[in-house]
Parts: sequence; C-alpha cells; structure tokens
Amino acid sequence: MVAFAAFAAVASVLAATTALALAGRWLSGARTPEVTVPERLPFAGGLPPDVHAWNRFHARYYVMALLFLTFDMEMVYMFPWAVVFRSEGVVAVAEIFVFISILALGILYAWRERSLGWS
Amino acid sequence: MTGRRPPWLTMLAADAEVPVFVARGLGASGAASHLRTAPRVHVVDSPRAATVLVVVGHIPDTLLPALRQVHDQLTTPRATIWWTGGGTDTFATSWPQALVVDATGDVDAEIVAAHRGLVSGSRSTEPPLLPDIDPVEWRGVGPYGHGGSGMTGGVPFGRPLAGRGDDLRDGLTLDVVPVWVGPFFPPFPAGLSLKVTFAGDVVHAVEVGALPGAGSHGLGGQLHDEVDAAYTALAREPVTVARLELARARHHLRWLTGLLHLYGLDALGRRVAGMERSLTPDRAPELVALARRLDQPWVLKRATAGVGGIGTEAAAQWGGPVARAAGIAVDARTELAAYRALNFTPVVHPAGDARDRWRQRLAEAVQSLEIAGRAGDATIEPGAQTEPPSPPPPGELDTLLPNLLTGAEWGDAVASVVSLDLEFDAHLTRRPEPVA
Repeated sequence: MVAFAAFAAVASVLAATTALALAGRWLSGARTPEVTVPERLPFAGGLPPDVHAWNRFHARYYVMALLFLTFDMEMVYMFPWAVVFRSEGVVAVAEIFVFISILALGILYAWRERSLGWS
Repeated sequence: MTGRRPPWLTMLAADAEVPVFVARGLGASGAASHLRTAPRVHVVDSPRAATVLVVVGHIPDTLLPALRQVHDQLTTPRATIWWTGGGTDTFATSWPQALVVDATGDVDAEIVAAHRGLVSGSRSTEPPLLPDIDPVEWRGVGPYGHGGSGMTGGVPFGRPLAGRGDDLRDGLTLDVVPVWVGPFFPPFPAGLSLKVTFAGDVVHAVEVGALPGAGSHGLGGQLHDEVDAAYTALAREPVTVARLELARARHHLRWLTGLLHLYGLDALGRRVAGMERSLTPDRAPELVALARRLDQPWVLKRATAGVGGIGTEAAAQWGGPVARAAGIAVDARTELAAYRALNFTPVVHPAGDARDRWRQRLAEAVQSLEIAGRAGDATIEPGAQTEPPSPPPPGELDTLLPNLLTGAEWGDAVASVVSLDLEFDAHLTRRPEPVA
C-alpha cells in the first residue's frame, strides 16, 4: 500500500509537470503570430543568405585553457604527492613521472601550435 | 490582438517615438537626413526593431525583391509609407498597399498617424508580401531526406555550410562566412550591395554586387531638393557661385550627419542637421568650432584616425574630396574663371584616412561658405565643368572597394565606405544589371 502511494505521488507529479509543459507550449503557440519563411530570415540589407548560419569558428582561447589545465593539474597533484612520496617510495616517484609525461604531451602540443612564443 | 488593451496603455504607446526603418532609394540623401533628425521619429538600423517602413526616393525594379524582403522582416504590426517625388501611378500594380506621400507632403505626420493607427487597432497590419516557402527544402542524403555526415548531414535549406579560409591575422583558420550586405543596409549608399566574406569580424574578401543602372524603371521618383537642384540646374541655366557653394557646404554637412549616426553621436548629428537646414555664409565660424570639437580624441579622432587609408594612386582614382584628403590638390574649380577671380585654391589634407576625409569635407564646407559670402553675383555658365560635392563613383569600384576593405575589421570597413560619400543616385551612371 505504501509502495502504491509512492508510485501514485511520482505519477501525479509527472502528469502535472507534463500538463504544465504542454500548457506553456500551447499558450506560447497561441500567442505567437504565424511567421513566414521570409519573415524569419536574418536581416543584412534585403538579400537572401548564401550559406547556412551554422558555422564553426575558432575558440582562440583554447591554447590558454590547455596550458592552464596542464600546469594547474601538475600543481594540484604534486603538492599532496610531495607530502607522501618518501613514505610511498619508488612506486610514487615512477607514478609521478608517468603523470607528468602525460601532461607534458599537452605542453608539447601547445608548443607545436606556437602558443609559447610572445606574440 | 489589438483592441483589448486598456485605453491608457494604447495612449501611452501611441505617444511614443515611432521606430522607423528607412529604405533608401535613389535620389533621397536629404530625405534620409531629414528623417534621422525628425522629432517624433526614431530611425532604427534594422527592420526587426521598426514599426513603420519608410521608403524614400526612387526604387529601381532591380531592388524591389530586396525591398519586399525587408518589408517582411519588419515585426507586426507594421505599415509602409512611400515618400517619393512623382511617379505614383504605377503603385497600384506593384505595391498596392502603398501609402504614398509626395515631396511636399508632411511625412512626419503620416508616420505618426500610421503608428497610432496600428497601436489603436484602427489600422490593420500589413500581411507579408513574399510567399511562405523555403527556396529549397531541407534534405539530407538519405532516401527520405534524412541523415548524412557532418554537423547537419547535407545542405540545409539549399544553403551549404560555410567553408574554411586562410586567416589574415594570426594563422588560425576559421570558417569564412559569405554574407550579402545591402542594398538596404542603412549606412551604405542607396543600392550598394557587397558580398562580404567574414572571418570572425575581419573582412576576408569583398565582391561588389550589381549597382542600380542609369534611368532604370522602377517605383517612385527621386526626392531632389535645393542641394541637388543647384548642381543639376547648372546643365540648363547659369547658376551663381554663391548658390553652388552653399549647396556644397550643405551636402557635406548632410554627409556628416550620416557619419555621426554611424558612431552613435546622434545628438551632435541633430545639431549638424539643424545647422545644415539654416546654413548661411556667416555661420562658417560655427563649422570651424564644430571641426575642432569633432577632432577631440574621444569624439571622432581616435575612432577614425588610420581607418580606411587610401594611398595616393588609389585616391587619384576616387577623385574629389577623397583625393584631396590624400594630399592631391585636384579640383575642377581651379579651371573656372569665376573661381580664379575669387583666388580659389583647393584645401588638402595629408593622411588619406577616414579622419582626414571628414576633416577635408568640413574644411571644404567652411571654404565654400567663405566663398559664398564674398562671391557676390558671380555666375557659372551653363554646361561648365565644375567640381561636384562628391564625384561619381569611379569605374574601377570593383577593385578599389575590395582593396580598401579587405583585412579591415567590420566596423572600420563600414566607416571606410561611409567616408567615401558614394552616392549612386546623384549620377545614375554605371552598369544596368540586376542585383544578384
């Protein structure tokens, strides 16, 4: 009986939210005037667009993000490592070298993209 | 949708400034300047923000499809007013809903009345003019128009995705997006359309579209006023030097209101337009003070210095004030006896950038007022070759404009176009080809 009540509660919440979403959808549809295709086109002086508006553009900050991430990750893990590596021994030293070499790949990539030079 | 609002709300809305989009046809530079400074009217730069579309001057048939597109891009409720000189008889077939105001009509009152009608519900909105169909349906590569590779899987609505192009700045390649700008892009001269390929905000390539041709058939007539009339009258009758020079000064000030609007200096623009309408030769000192004020770093100096630089060779091809702003002292007035008697020597500026072009035009306006003040009744004989306020666009526009704009940021590119003071309407020369 308790289980049924719980299911009923969930189902009623689901029904209520669905009804709310549908009501909002109907309301917005009813309040929005019909818009034709020419009315939807972006304005650039009256001529139709040649290419689609979906285009990729370069996230120019990505090398900064990459460099920040590599050095930041190094710091975040090397501080706790520095506290325990004496007690953990050779294994910890080997592990940190593996970790740093993975991050170094990122730095090498940034280097190849010439983002380390002054511009 | 209207009619159920409380009456006080309707009253408030009807009393607000009317957002107006001005579609400039040929022969309407004065009209555009008038609307920009009219008291109850707020000229906006996109039809999306406008309630009333005001079409000014002559619209050649080649521009009509683009005008219909702009009309449909106005938000509803909307109204259209044509402010044109003559040629109203063809409206019945080409644009039946047109509310036509002729050159002498009170266009401001008509705009306010149309806005009030729309807001109160006594005037119904104009339906779209173009059919509700996509030029090309969406189709993917599959048999049911589905699927495909890449971001969209095919060619959405017949328009391919933007392709990649080399970067002009730092070598990071982006998608370059070709966009047709114009012929009703507000800062551009009437009828100019450019296919601008953008890489981000940088102009990657420019192609000049077909320009409205001479004596083209179309709707409405040119709205010429005294400023244009002084120079067109010279073909038929003797005109006094004072009249020509006053018209030149007014032309330059009108152009300046457009530049000030581009830089968001509308309050200054209104003052300049007021000066322009009541310009007399004794107001030259005010123009000198204006030039000094505009050349403050935070007004126009910093924004326009180094923008749109034109070398001596190209400047000679542009001719007129653009050439003189690049240090070339070429002026047809030096050949005329009437001007020689007045000891006329052309003003020049050295740098050839947008800043020197507006300084050049203001200096020429000051010089014109000064000449008009002491010219007395000196006249120019009909048919004499005098210097127009702005010369016809050069025939090499197809190479000159791309050379000027490529590599510039978009804001600077627009300022460069404005600084050239191109007007196709005053001359109606060039190729009579349809707009692409």
